Amino acid sequence: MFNAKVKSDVLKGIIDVTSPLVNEAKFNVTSKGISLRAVDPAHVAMVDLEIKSKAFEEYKADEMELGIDLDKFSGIMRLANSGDMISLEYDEDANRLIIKIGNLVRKMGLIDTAGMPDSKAPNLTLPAKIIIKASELSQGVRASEAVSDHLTLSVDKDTFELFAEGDTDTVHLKLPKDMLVELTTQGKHKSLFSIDYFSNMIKSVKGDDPITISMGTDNPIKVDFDFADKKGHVSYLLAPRIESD
Amino acid sequence: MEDWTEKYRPKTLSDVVGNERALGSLRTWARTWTGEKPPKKKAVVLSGKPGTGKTSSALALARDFKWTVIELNASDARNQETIKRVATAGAINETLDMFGNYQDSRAGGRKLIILDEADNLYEKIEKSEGSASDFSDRGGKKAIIETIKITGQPIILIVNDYYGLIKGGGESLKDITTVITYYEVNTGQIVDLLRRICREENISTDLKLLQLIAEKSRGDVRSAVHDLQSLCIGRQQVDVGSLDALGYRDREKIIFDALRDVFKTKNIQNLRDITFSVDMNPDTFLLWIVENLPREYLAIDDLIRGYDAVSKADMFFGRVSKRQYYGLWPYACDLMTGGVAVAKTRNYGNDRYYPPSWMKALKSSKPVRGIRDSVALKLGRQCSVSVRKSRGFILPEFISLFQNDIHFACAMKRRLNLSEGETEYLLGEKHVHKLKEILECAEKTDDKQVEIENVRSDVKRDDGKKEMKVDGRQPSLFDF
Repeated sequence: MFNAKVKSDVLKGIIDVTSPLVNEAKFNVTSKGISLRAVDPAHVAMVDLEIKSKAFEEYKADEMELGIDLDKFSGIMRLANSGDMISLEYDEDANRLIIKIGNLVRKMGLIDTAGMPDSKAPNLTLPAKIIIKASELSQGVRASEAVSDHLTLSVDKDTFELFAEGDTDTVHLKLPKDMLVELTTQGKHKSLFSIDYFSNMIKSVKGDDPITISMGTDNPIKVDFDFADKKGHVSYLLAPRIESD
Repeated sequence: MEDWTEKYRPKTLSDVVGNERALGSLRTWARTWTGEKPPKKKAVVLSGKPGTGKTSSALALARDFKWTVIELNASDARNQETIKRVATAGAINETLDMFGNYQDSRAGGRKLIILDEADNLYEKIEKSEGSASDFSDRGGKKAIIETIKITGQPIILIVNDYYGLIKGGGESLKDITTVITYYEVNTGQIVDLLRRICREENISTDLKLLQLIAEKSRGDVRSAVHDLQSLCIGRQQVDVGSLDALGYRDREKIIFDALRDVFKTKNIQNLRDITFSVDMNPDTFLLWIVENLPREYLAIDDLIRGYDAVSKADMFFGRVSKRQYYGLWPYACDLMTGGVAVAKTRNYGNDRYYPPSWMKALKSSKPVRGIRDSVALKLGRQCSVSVRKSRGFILPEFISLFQNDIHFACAMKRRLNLSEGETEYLLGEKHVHKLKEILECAEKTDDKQVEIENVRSDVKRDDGKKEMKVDGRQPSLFDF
């Protein structure tokens, strides 16, 4: 059983953080909330999302899985305005999700989740941790996009740096420790990442909201932030770029 | 039922049937990837006929080397954008496997990018009108070449036709890839595989049958396994006799090839020739196309256009039979082959075709229809109507009476002189228990009934007489 009422903005938030990476996803529903963990088709990034039942206005659920086509779902959510109340109900007999937006009733067929693997949270030691305001980071990433398709992130005990180099142009963002919310690291660390993945990960966070970055040297990067009034949390993992010579 | 070609897909490279030499080259290439830096030839092309083990060995290789697999085949739209988003992105970045574990390439954690049916990319712009999704493979070849140039991960391209890959903008692939050719697998090896499958499935069989299947497959392991499976459905024992069940197999081979041409190519000139070489009437060929169309064209827009072409062809067949003018056949043929062929905007991975289920249903229901018509004929004679009318209007009511009124049934069996089979048919499965009773009753009453009827008519006649007598009592004028 799954029966919930929720503001459209929360659902849009879920779509914003998942749809850039995966087209189809298996949502694990429990009485406490909904979670999702999925690897993108190119096997480069993973999204790990958790949203508490508190984020919903009403929430009643047993343990179950919902296989959702995110392109389709995001199309449906475009029918709703910001602030609309949306009711979700699982129709077990037809394996459909009944979505009510005002007087509109939309029944959406679900995907079979049988073939979808259960990803675990990988065990990684990432020695550096940076908490940064979203606006600061996205400015640097936006600038880099115009120059190259990959960027270097580096950190030492005093600064966090972002560097992108194209054929003729470069971008360099240097943030000293006092401009960051937090910076803890043991030693220097540096890794290279694809910009389009990285920018997709941070684009839904706006303004002064904090983003937590965990990284090491030539290791995946972990990007964490809250959404839906801190009742939802998303954590991305991005594999580094292979350095070509 | 599980597809045996998937169930028995080789788990490791040494399980792949045949082509030892190709497998050796593939393994050697894979070993060059185990160092820290990518080798010079970052991609290989596996080229060979269908069913020779190309895809199987690519997947088995990944398993042997514990590599994560990204596979793009004909069921994905492989345009520039998809290839960039999946293959290119995968090629230049490190890997998280399907469980989210980090696979560091310096520690041998590679991901294998498999581009299946890479010679089947449509380069032309074929955006279907009014549809939002683009299924064409536009610019796909260019994207593949670029991906190979910058990749940090191993790539395998799989093709049936190496020339098809190289021509039209693919020349540079010659320099940056190694070609590994797969040959038709020899019959003995196929027989061994078939025997192993039979053992696993607990099916007893004779060697001669397996040999026949293997020979007919002409080195195509997949089709041999398919054939074996279709023979074994619902059986524990198969022998050469079972092969008669697929008696029209050889002729089907040609029709299968023709279907493949209709569904896989767009060359209308070629298709015209094929229609002539198929040994069946064009309207039968149409049934084959109709049966397989929805299995092939998975994109809804393609399917709609395909059905549209088929329906137009059918209109011409209607005119042919109405006017008995066979000059209209070519129009119908072109519509059903060429029309269906150009209806697609992409190629599909399907390679199983089935005979028309309509014809099969017709064939299996033939005895039943025969009985029905003979009953309808007898009934029609009795009621002085045509067989068609008797079948359509009288028979349903008649059956209902027959099933629910046992006396009626007895009488009718006698009157219409129905055989046992016909009586059984009329009773249907639900009322078949009454059969014995009716047969006995009909036999017993054969003579009695006549008597009873005679008696009845006598009574009637008597009544008439009596009435006449009563009437007779009325004095006539002459009495006075």
